[in-house]
Amino acid sequence: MNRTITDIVLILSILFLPWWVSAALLLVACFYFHHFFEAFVFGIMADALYAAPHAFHNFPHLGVIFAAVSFLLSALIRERLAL
Amino acid sequence: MTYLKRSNPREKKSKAYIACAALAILILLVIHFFLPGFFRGIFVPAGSAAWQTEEGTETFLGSLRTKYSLSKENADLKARLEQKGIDALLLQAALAENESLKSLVHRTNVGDDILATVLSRPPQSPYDTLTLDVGADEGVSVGDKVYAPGGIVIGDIAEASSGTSKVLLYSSPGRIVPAIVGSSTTQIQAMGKGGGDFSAKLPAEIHVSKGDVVLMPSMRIHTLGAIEAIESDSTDSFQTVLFTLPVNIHELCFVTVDRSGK
Repeated sequence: MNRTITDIVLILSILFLPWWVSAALLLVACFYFHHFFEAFVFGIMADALYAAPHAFHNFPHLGVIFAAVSFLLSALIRERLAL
Repeated sequence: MTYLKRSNPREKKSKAYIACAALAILILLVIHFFLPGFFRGIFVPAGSAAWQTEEGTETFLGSLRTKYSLSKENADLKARLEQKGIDALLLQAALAENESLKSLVHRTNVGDDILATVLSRPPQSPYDTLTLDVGADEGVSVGDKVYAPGGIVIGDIAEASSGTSKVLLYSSPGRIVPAIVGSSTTQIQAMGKGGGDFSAKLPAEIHVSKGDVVLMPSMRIHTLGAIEAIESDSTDSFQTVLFTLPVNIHELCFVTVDRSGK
């Protein structure tokens, strides 16, 4: 239930809130939930909505990269802490 | 005596779940990188529908502002408007003269403009892009220039689908645009820094000062901004000028798209 609500909040934040709010929420969700695979979908969604060819030094994949880094970082830290 | 560890069905199930999820993510990433239009086709129509609903919500939230702050803002705006009115009169005269001079040599700066509503803008977008409610159906195509109110050029169309289009602002991080500073005809390369900001390097011997207008070379007047800061060092043969688009891109509601592609 909590996870579904988080997913909905993240979708709304990507659509209506500044990008850094969505990024912070995504990072928190990755650490809070176990195997937060949805992060990749949200990264893809942000890129599909806002990226344009040649944007950001010709690398319009910031959303996916951020999601991947957050996911891997949270997985690594969770494993080290044995959560 | 040794005992074989019995396999834990819960652990097995969890591993299968992780493997399935990893495979699904891999497929999603392959589609995202190799078929970029696929997810755009799903998310952009859904997003534009949501953004159009948001405009109604913003109107409601706007009505909740306090009376005092509104009256104060009203007084400030009135004072500014008075000054702008005087400036506009002078500008109108200069523009009319400019147009008549260009028509003498059979050159015109009149475009084929279409009004568009801005559906999303920075800071929602980390890429300095706008989403507009006009697209290929309205004759908008990649490369068309986009103007903020007042004829300020802010970017061009980077993607046009049937009902929406994306604008890549000139101030997008890493984007390089040609520019002319002040009254000199020296062409420089201005680099976008995001959020409507630019920086440009030019030789230290070129005299520039704060407030100098920065233009994009074109027949139609393309103002990129006015110099706000100059960073120079006596040991460096270059100086860095910083300037910002004269419009607040975070508050843009309407823009015009020049479909003539000039």
